[in-house]
Amino acid sequence: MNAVQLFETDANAVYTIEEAARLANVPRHQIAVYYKYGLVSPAKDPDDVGWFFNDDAIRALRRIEYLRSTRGLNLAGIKLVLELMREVEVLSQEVRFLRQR
Amino acid sequence: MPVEFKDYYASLGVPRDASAEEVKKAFRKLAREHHPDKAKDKKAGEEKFKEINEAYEVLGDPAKRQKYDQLGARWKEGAGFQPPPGQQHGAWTSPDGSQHYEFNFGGSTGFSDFFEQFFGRGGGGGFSFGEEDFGQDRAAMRGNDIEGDLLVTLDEVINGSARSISLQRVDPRTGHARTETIRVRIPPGVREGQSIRVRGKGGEGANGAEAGDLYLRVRLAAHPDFRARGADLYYELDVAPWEAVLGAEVVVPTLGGRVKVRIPPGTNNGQKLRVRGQGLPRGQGGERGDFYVVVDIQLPEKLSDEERALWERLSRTSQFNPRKPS
Repeated sequence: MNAVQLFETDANAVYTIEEAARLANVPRHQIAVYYKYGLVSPAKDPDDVGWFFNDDAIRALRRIEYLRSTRGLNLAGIKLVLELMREVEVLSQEVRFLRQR
Repeated sequence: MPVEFKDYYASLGVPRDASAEEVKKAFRKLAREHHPDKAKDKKAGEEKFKEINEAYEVLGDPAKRQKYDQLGARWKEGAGFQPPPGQQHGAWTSPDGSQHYEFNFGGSTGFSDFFEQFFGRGGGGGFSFGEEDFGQDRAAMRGNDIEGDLLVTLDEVINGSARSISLQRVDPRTGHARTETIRVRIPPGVREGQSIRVRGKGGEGANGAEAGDLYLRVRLAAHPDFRARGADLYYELDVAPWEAVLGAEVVVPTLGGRVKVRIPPGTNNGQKLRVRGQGLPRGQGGERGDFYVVVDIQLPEKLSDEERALWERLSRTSQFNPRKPS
């Protein structure tokens, strides 16, 4: 058996908009549109240091792309879906926390 | 893809009609016994701890438990166990659409195949991205991403750890299965729900395009003593009524050892006492969340004659009226 590959995951990794565009397979201008719509936010303040995205943002971009291209949602629909998902996630975490009492 | 049925009731050693409270008690007792920090055989302890945690994850949640009970009944009928239709795609789902590959997982993500199949991200419940095939008409298409849950203990959140994860890919065109094992370093300070991205370990790209990524979603293992909320930890401290009224000093366990906590006089039930910086790490910067001691006043169930006489004397003497209109 081959040597096992070790992956050093970096929870704090950030990517430039070019890298993010490549990783998420979304054109740069499209990322800018999503940002303007509040669908995705850079990890750092764009006015300050430029656009940098983290893994969560990459994942969000891919989900947005999926909802748009495969599910045929428009931006307003995507925004609603993402907000609801985030809310459900927060609520289910809270339920888990409370249930452990 | 038949998976092995897991008897979660047996894992926790409770009868099928056990109450939620009994399930919780059984979990706490076993989790204390097999906690990796405490078990003599660390390796076996860890395996057992994960098994208990998985069982509790299902049986401790009324909705999951109901679903599991239904599955269990069906499983008993037949000899083999086949997943219900529409779920035969295996443990991993691809969040961005098409699914050309079938993935099974193994190694130590902390959850069994069985769990992933029915209660993981792809197992019907929750949001599942994928299952829709939009063909391969695009020239070069990046591979799909795969998502799965990763059970992480609180100790691992503090110290970080490395895990071996095996991925079995089944190529639908050839039916050929290939197993690949990778080791993933879990950085300290991960939080519940956070995704750990493993680059290039998702589905293969079409026509020379890049492979997708593997996303491991962090699920914190339930701890017998502590509950985590973000980077903060909560500990339920049982307190006698007079300790709450008169104040006391109590030694409480934390993840790193023990701390002495002062209960101020007149502490109410449910009140939170904060111990700064004794929670979980917040990212990798060395900053830590707080540790909260939640006061849970316990009443004595059996009274001696003398104790009863004292309570009676108190009730006659006391001016305190909890229902006094304010």
